[in-house]
Amino acid sequence: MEDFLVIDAIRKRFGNHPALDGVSLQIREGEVFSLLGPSGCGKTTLLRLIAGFDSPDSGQILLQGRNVAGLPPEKRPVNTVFQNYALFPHLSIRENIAFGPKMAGWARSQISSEVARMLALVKMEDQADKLPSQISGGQKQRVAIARALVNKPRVLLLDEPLAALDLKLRQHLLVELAALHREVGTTFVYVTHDQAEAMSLSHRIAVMNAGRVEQVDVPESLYRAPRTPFVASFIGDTNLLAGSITGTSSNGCKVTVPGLGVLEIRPETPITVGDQVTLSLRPEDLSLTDGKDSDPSLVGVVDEVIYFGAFTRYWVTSSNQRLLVQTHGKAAWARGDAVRVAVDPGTLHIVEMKSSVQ
Amino acid sequence: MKSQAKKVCPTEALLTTPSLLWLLAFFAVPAGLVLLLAFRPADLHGGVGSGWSVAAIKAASDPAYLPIWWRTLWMSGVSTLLCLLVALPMGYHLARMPRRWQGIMVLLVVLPFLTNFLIRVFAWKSLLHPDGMVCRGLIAMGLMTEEQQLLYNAGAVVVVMFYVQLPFAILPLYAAAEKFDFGLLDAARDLGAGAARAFWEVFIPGVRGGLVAASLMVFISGVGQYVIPQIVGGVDTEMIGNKIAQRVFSDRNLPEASALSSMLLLGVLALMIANSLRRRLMAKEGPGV
Ligand SMILES: Nc1ncnc2c1ncn2[C@@H]1O[C@H](COP(=O)(O)OP(=O)(O)OP(=O)(O)O)[C@@H](O)[C@H]1O
Ligand SMILES: [Mg+2]
Repeated sequence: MEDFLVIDAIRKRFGNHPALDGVSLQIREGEVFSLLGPSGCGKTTLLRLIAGFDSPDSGQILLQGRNVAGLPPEKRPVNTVFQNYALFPHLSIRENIAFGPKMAGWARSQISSEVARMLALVKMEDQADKLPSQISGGQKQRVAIARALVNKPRVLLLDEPLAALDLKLRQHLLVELAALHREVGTTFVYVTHDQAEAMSLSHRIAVMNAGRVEQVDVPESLYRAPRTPFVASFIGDTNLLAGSITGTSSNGCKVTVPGLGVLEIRPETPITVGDQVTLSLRPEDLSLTDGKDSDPSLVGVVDEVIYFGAFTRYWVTSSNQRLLVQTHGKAAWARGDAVRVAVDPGTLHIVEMKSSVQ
Repeated sequence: MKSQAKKVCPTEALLTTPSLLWLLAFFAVPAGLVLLLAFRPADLHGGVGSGWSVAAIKAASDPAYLPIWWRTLWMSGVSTLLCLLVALPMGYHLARMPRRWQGIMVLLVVLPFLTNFLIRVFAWKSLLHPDGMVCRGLIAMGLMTEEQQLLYNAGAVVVVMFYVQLPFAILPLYAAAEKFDFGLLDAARDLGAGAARAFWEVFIPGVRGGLVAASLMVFISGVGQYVIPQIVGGVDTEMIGNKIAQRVFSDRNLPEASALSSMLLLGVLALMIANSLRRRLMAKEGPGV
């Protein structure tokens, strides 16, 4: 099951620029697997390699154990929903969806019944005889999905299918897409640069940065336990703070962070006193207390308060560090207040470590 | 689609006036004069007599012209077909080249225009001449005997027509291909079409406008041709243009020349009207299912 679609040490350069720099992934049958990363990190390149439009410089792609290297795109049992949909402008919606089955040489009756089924699945029956130029962006996106799914691909590749749409429609289609996946059960490889989209739709996410995979995990773990500073800051908001290990305690070690004082942490990897670390602290894991009677080195000043309705965000400067703090409900502190930032123990997370012994 | 009755607003009418005047002065009036001339009697001194006569029309309808009309059509048709066959892949590859190269290649395509048309045709004559290098080469390779001729036959006419007209096919096809979204070919491949099938099913419909423009340009300039058959053709490769030229220059029978010209003109006009009707019809109906 782990090895339904295996991407093994893929490298791809364009000129001198490595678009993919040793990417390995194992994608499971039936899951929604997202490739998440900023623009230019190589997501589309990887998708094009899986679809067969380009070939990797090295590494291989195995689908159900079979190396697909020699197969041209038309022979691969995968279909793509393109970033700009790429609907054929001279064909009606119905003919667009029928294109794949026609190429595969299905019987006429089978084509028309399957196309009708897909039209119903994406709720486009009454638009079937229009041209792509006559339907809206959201409808084009649904047609593109139907046109791909009608071929019953083993893997459906989706390249930022919602990127061109406005926020409202995006949220609506995201729900539809999740429902669609439950209905068809096809393995989805979903490319996006929008972390909220990836978090809400995916079973697992690979976070990519500059041609490499930084971390592959379920959404919850990516958020709660990011393993690199990049992942921590790309997934949601976070505070990245430098600290040093200054001692050990009964069940972990003590880390000193300027502005926050001495905190307890249970590192997942061996660590020694003197090591320098980078910590990720989510804004909602921090809270503010009155700073009047505290150690002056731990007292910060509220710079900015923004009330969002369900929560309030504060920007606090403490020992030359700017911290983002998020609390429930309405603002309890005002600009200029002296506060102390408290950390919910157990939520501290080391995302980078530099050993002192070297 | 909405089909509203178009109302012409005053400024729009004003704006189209210059081009209408231009059309009137340089196209409609001369064409009308030619048509009128066809109904005049010829006088013996090579001029046009007074009064009206259908003699020229009668003469131009002589069945002896039929084989020449037929030859004009098929030679233009074949050279059009050849032009499209070459220009289509050229347009495709031109459009896929890096931008910088596209400009250079288009320049190369139009470069022959810098040489006078007659000189280019005469260059072909010397190329295909029995002492020319093509003939000598083919004879040396044993592909041709001394008795055979490359010149003065329909083949030579079609080849030179093809050469002269090729840029007129490449340019509209390149313009169409340049606007084509090549991502659509990826989509077609992704959906199971082989490279050739994708080209046929997606690229060709995508550049249909350019194809029609190229065909019309090449075909219409072909049916009016008379210099090429005169220079590289023989007695049995005359086209209707040659006949018109003969009536004008040797027989000095302007009315008969006008009658033949009018027939050609009306044929071409019919072709263009049919094309614009087809386009209007397609825009109205949308795609068939
Ligand atoms: N055909 C190509 N020729 C040259 N460079 C390319 C080509 N395709 C991609 N690149 C480069 O490779 C890198 C990765 O591109 P890719 O399209 O995979 O990014 P992406 O993650 O999909 O970005 P986006 O979110 O903007 O779509 C980029 O730096 C891009 O400039
Ligand atoms: Mg992309």
